[in-house]
Amino acid sequence: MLLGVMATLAIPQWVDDFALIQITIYVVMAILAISQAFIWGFSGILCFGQATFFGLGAYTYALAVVNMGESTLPVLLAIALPGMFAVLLGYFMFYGRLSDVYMGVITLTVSLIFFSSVNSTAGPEWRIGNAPLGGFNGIPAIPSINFPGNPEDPLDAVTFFYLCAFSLIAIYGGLRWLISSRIGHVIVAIKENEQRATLLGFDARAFKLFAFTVGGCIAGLSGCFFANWGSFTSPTVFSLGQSAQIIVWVIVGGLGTLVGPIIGCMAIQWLTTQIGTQQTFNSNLVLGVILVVFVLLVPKGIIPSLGDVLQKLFGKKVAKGEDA
Amino acid sequence: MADVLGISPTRVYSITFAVGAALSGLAGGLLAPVSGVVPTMGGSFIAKAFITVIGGGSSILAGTVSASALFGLINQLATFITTPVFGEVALFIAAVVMLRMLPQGITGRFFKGSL
Repeated sequence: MLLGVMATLAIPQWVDDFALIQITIYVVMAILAISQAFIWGFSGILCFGQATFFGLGAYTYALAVVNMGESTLPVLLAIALPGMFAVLLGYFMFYGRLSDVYMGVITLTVSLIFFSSVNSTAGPEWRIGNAPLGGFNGIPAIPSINFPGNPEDPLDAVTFFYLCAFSLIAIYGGLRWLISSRIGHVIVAIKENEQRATLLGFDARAFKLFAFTVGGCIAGLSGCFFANWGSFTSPTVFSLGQSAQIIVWVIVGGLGTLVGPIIGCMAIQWLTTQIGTQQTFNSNLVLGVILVVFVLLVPKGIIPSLGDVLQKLFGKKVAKGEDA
Repeated sequence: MADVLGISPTRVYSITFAVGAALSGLAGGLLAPVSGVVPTMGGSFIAKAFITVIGGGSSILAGTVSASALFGLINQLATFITTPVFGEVALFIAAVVMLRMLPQGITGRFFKGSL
């Protein structure tokens, strides 16, 4: 975490504004990746529809800020509304004692429901307050986050980068603290063996609901930053491709860690940008090849495999020292 | 268990996957004259096929037929009343509700043991 803080403070000194904006979107997507990593790697909930909360956060921020003009309450709403929807959806799923596959299918279907509904809301009769929903055209020209209480003072690129990066670090720290607390231990125990945890007396449904809601709130915050970053949001934030991308980041980075998906997300996004600059390969082709290679050869992901390699190198040295 | 009894699971999985892929290919080949061929023509069917199969349950024919009949009915009714997009949305909502109420699918409860 200290490394992260130092990197955050150092980066704006070295890179120009354009690269800084690129890095900001990597950080925003890393927040999304960490939410999926938490609910999949530490709570065992395979959610194929994390894009639902991402899109809900983006749209909530966009509609609220166009209606209200000042941005503090919309940011809070963009965290609260996906959280409330996560509570509803989680209650529906977990209190019905549904298992893995059905959860994945239901979350996938919910994201498709949102995608189809919002996609068809073009036309001036679809508006919430002052803000037209825009349908497949999206909502353009979204006002940026401003300093609290001062609508005329939007954040510039460097300050926005600081906001996103420090949010990522704070969320990482918060999740680490949560996992090491009593609630976190129960959540991990439920992931390991739900029946055993239930027999020990913990209500697995409530803890899973809590973890799911936390993941939903974090994804909503990421959506809010995303709407800010591009000043634009469209129904593709709900799409299947977005959900699939998040899952790819988590698999490549390492399921079961929190740092892994952050690194995986940034690496894959950077790679996609670099491939986009040349004509030989389609970026989707390369991403598909990477995913297949990782699932077959490095199934644990980057960070756990790196950990194994380092352990083999340094573990052996320790053993030899003990021999002598 | 099957492994202990002498059946090779990897072989059975491979053959099953191959037969499934062949059936999908047949479906694509039958669809091609009707809709024209593009590389992404299968994409729109993924989600609906998934929820139909899971909603159908363990029986191959009876489950899929009953699930697709039910979902298709809801889809077309909603399309008739509102727009086609909300017909799709109604189909998805019906699928979510049905998965919650009947997690084993339709043939997990009714028509058990049929083909």
